[in-house]
Amino acid sequence: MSGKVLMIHGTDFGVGKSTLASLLCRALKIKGFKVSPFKSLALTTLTEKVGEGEMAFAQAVQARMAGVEPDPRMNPLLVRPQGRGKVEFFVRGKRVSSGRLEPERLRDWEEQVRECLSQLSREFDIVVAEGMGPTRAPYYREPLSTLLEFANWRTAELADARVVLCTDEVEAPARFLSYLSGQEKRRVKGVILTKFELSDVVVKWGYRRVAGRAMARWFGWVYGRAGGVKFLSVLPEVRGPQLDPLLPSPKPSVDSVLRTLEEAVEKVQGYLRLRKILSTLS
Amino acid sequence: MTAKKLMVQGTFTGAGKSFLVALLCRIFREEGYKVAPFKLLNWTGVVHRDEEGREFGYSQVLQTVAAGTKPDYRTNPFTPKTLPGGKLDLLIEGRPIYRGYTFPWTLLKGWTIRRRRIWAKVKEAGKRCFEGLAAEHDIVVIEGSGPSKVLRMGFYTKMIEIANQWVAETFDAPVIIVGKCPQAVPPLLSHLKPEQRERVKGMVLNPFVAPQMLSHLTGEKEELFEKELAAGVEKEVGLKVYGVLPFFEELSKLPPLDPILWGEKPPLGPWEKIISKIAREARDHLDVEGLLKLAK
Repeated sequence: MSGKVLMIHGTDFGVGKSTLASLLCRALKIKGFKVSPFKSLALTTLTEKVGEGEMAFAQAVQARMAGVEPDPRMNPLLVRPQGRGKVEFFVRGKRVSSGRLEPERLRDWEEQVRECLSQLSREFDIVVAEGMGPTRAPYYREPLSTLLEFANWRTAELADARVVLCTDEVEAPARFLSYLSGQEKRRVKGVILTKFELSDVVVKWGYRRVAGRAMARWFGWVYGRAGGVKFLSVLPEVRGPQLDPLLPSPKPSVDSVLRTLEEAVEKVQGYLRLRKILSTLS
Repeated sequence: MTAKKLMVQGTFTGAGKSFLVALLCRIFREEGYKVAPFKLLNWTGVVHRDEEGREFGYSQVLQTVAAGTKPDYRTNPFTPKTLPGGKLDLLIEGRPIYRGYTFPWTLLKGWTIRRRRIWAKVKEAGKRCFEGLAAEHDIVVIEGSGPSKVLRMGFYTKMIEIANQWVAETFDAPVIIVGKCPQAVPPLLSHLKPEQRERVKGMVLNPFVAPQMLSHLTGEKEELFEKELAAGVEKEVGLKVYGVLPFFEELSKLPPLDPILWGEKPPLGPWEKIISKIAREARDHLDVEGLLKLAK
């Protein structure tokens, strides 16, 4: 699996991980790679029926963006909250339990995650994996902290993934890196800043490629020194429906989501700096 | 100057400063004070034009509406207005001093002295406007621009420094920091000078969704998680947490309150209803008394 899995961690919920993963899927597809999305453990109310099984909506959209058929293996574990403390738990698209969430039982399903990952990495050139929420949040409490730990660092270990930190606050990554152990820190290859308003201004000016590179270098130079953070890209804001909303909300139609994301791919061109991102895998 | 002052600064652009200031304006007004917002520098494409033809930031109009007073150009003395084609109009007290200022080229030569003159004018106008507002109101809620400090970015650093630190120092205002990610605060504070750091008294998290998520997952009450997480954040950041605001559905449906580029204006009528509804809900999540005590 080594060198095949690119994992996107975030510094918070809703920083744009899912959107970034979808954009990467499409951009890599255009480059001629066979790409698969992946999320080991999804916690969401938005799900999509695929064949017999159930998978997270965001991963289904990402698969479409990558031009492949959605497959429950791209989302082996799925927790669907039903409110009032009840959840449904799916493994590889099949419902195995419902009732209270039992985070201590997650370890039992590790083998499934490992199997899905190895199958996908055999079938595809690149697996764009997505973490959940903040990469590590010491003051969060159960059951959220166990879920986060499994979805982020346990999965990164299982996949032997290279990690990219996705953030919308330029100061935050340095602090998050201080939470990580030496081994985990070595996995982190860079930071991608999303929703940066000033780059919106530059988009309108039209100096894309130059500005994209200049901004990434600039941020790396200014904010990177403290924590040894490397800025891979600085992306403008992309408007559209949320792929993986934080709180229960109605499901948008796949077509409309795909349309906005396709526009977004146009918009971030030159800012994404795909070659830089790909170089983290080698 | 008789009014009390309180300043809101952000961890980064889009941290929710404009919203928090509007919210505070509303809540303080409901407490019986006469409130005014103030933002020295508002770089935006969305401006309001009043009867006299003065143009200033639309987000200040939203805030004055929340405070229940009339739109006033003094709430935003300096407005670089974004125009299509990478141009700016520089407006001081609502009147243009430069039209079609093309920003990247003016950095090059011949403009150093002119830029210095512009900043001197901005500071002068800022003092004049603020004194006017302070004489007529009980509380002035000041808003910073962008992050409260930016390092080594030339023109942008200078702009942010004047809009945030110069304002806080000149008008002697206590500062609260607003942001969504508490981890961004310690690095930000470490960039401040000691006297600037002393002025920062607390922070507000906006939006912080973890309590809502946890309560949805476990079925327990939201307040329980909120207190616990706030305590954790306090330990992490070393600042008093004055509020943990949840995710407001109505707010997410509005266009951004204070965008740099041009965009839609949230209409004023519905806005007043929305902000008063949000204020009712937000009271449970904010330490209003503490904030009132903090204002000086």
